[in-house]
Amino acid sequence: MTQILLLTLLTIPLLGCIVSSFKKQTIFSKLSEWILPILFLGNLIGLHQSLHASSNEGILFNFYLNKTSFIFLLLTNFLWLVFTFYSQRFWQINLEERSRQLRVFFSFIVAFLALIFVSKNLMITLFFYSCLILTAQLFAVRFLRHTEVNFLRLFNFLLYFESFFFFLAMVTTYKLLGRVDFINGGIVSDNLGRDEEVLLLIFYMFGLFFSVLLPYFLFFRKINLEPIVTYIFFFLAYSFGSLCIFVKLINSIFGFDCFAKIFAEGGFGFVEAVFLFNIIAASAFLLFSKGIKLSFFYLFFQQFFFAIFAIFFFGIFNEEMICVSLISFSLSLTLIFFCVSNIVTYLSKSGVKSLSGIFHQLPISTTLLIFALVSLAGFFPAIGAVEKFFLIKTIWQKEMWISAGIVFVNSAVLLIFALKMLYHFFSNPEENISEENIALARDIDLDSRLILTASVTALLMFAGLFITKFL
Amino acid sequence: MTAVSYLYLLVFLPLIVAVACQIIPGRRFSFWLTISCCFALFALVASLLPQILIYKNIGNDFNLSLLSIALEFRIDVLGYFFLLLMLFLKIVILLFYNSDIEKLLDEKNTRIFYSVFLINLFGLVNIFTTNNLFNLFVFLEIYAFSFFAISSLSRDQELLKISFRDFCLNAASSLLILFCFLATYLVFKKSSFDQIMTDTNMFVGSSLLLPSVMLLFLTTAFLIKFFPFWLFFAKMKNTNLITNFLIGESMFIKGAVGFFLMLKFVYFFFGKTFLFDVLNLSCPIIIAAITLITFSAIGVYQQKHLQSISAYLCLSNVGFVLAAIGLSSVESLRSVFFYALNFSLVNLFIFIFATFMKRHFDTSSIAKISLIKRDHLFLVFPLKVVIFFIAAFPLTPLFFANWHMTYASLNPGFEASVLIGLVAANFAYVDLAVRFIDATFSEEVVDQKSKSSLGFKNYQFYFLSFWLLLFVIGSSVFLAVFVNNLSTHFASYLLSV
Repeated sequence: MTQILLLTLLTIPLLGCIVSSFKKQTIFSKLSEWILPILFLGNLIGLHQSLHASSNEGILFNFYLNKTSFIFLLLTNFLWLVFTFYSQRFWQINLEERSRQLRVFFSFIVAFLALIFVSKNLMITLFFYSCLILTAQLFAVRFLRHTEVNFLRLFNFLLYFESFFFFLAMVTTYKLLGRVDFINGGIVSDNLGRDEEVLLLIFYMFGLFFSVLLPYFLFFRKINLEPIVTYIFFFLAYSFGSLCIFVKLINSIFGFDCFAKIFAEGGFGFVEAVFLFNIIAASAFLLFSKGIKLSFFYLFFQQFFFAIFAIFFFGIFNEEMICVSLISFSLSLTLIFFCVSNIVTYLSKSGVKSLSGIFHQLPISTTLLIFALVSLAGFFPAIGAVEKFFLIKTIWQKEMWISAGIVFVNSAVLLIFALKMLYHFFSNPEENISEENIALARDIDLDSRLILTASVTALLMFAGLFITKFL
Repeated sequence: MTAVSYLYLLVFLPLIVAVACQIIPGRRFSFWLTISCCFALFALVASLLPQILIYKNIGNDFNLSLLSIALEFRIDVLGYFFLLLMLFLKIVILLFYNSDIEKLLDEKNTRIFYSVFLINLFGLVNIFTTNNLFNLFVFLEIYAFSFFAISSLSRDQELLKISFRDFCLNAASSLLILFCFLATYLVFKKSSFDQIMTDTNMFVGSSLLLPSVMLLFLTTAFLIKFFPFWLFFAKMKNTNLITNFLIGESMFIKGAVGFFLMLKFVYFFFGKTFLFDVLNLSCPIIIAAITLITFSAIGVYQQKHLQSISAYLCLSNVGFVLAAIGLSSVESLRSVFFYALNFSLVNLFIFIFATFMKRHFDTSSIAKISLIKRDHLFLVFPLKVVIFFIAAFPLTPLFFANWHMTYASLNPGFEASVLIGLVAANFAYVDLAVRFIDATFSEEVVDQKSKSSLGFKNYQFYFLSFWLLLFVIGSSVFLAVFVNNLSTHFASYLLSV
């Protein structure tokens, strides 16, 4: 039964790609857009039960499902559902002419992510990761303006560079251990000397995060990516894929114990310093950025660094909390995306150039945005608070002051940014707003889809502890 | 029929069909006879696979000196692999250029062309199957002469000049080869590869001067004879149909014959011990390989025309084969298998695609690929698939080639420097793949029109050759485990002597 469910699970997103490729929107394709993510969820529930029943991994050819894959699939499915639900309205207001292509791209991303999550070995993982990069390149060519294409071309080139390092790491793993399969508990654990383990880890780290280890966006100050591009390309395709591979590597190649031992002996200081540097750089760009689109872009990077740091940290000290970081990162960014894209849509459609007093036009979107930012900063009772609580607890016990600095900088910058946003939202409200703009704002902000998707996302953020326990 | 009988059928069939082409009138008939012969040879060779894998070589030595010179044929794992590949390439090239050739030549010349083509094929088959040094020399000459005979049909003055230069260089290299073979026979009393293979240490005990001179002569001769890329570079963008055919032949068939002889002479003539333990050639070969790889990576990066890109990709593959010989381990030789596959299949695909563009749009610029997309989806689809192969996606031949090469070079020591070449080459491949994506998927509207419409009826042979190549390239992915096993047989056979 597990085999059939896993096969169906892999087929559903691929079917989604086919359905979204249809040029004409028929009732069948519209219905399928809804049914497929729900079917996917049904399969996941079935697989969760069978995982529980047999306490074994479901294996099908070169694909398998374990707890880590399951969490990622569940998160992707949630994002798929809310995106499909929310996007119906979004496409009506925005980007109508490119909506089909964006939908196709989104389906491909979901399909490749699902395949990455359930890949049984490094080679298959690399294959689908490369497919993801290739799809991203197509996306860049099709949708973006010249400056942005150049930026994304560099980014994609760095991604290819990453995959080459990943390839090197994979060959080294094969040479040292004679296998490249994912196994719970890891294949490196107790089989290699410490130097070899460190070398492998460096290769893998370079092979996953090289493109974000240096704040190269310094050189591209004129980019102004749409929030949907930042969300689909950077958040969903890149960060989600990389983080999943990273967690799988820690769990199934190194093993959490081995991973912790490497840093217990060698120290965590250098890695902390790299993260601190990157978070400070991204924070500076975030605080001094002009325009909400650019702010969202830098916010993504800042939070992505923090998510990598948190996963790294929990991988060493408290492996059970990794999924909390993931959920916090993905839910908060999704909620922020919904709000930011609403604000951007309003600004572009109404011709208003400033955020001043926008709260009065878009009260729901702006409130939810502030909530998401505050949640990310670690305010109780959202899921971000759970993550920060466990981080600070361990930092306090281990007296890791650079890590404390990272958490502090992250929270402080998010709070300052939230205050800055608040100031803009409430300051100098425009008095003569045309009826048209008021209607547009109402159309965007009071849309039931936004309220529903955002509320569900926000509720899930509140229910962080419960979700963690369930998983 | 036994496997040995198959072998003799394989050797003489092209010769018989070449005569038949001259006797029977009708240009279409000559083509169908030739292509049927190629398919028959391919099927014959493919049917020998189980025996080759079990026995490693198939042959029949008559043990009579006179007879053995004339009839001593043997096919081993190395020759088998290259023969199969070359027959496939011949089929693709013949299918692709068939309409061009018939357009350019009248009936009489067409029949001559197919006869010469079959004699060329006869020479080629025998190069891979002969077991005797002097036979090898004779078949190399038959192959070279038939090649020049084809080039004389082109009626292109520039090309004839280049061919003449190539002919002169070829004659010089033949003399060098003949000198080496004679020296081997006179000094070591051996002319059969079987005898030489059983005693590859014959050079170790003797004075180093003669074998070193022979090595130098043979290297120079093979370089001039099989890799005369520089001669054709200038004419790479020529629109003459026969020129493209000849460049394709020269780059892919001659190049692969060069690979084959390089491997044969390194492992079965001079021997690993003499080259790498006595002369310590590992380091110089690796340095030369890295230089070649880096040079070609820069070339790929700079070029805008698909034909030139294809030539630089071939050079890059030659560099990797050299590096693999320098490393001389099972893994590095497994990578040779995959580089040869990539060289012959993917690079040829790019080349014939470029020829196609040149023929129909007067350009083979990478930026103009979108011209084809507008006219025909079935033509651009294979190109989209090939992007995976250029970018060395997992499970593709280039991926496995890189994998084995990386595995072989991941050692503390000088061998690790091959990684520099790997990084440089892969950057170039990725850049090329990105350029392909940009060109194939861009929505830019180009006004240029093709010379004639791309209907299936007129261009069935182009479609056929593209899809045939794509089918085989794709099969290498789906049969990755089987192909990997073949590569193991290939490498272990080379190191078994």
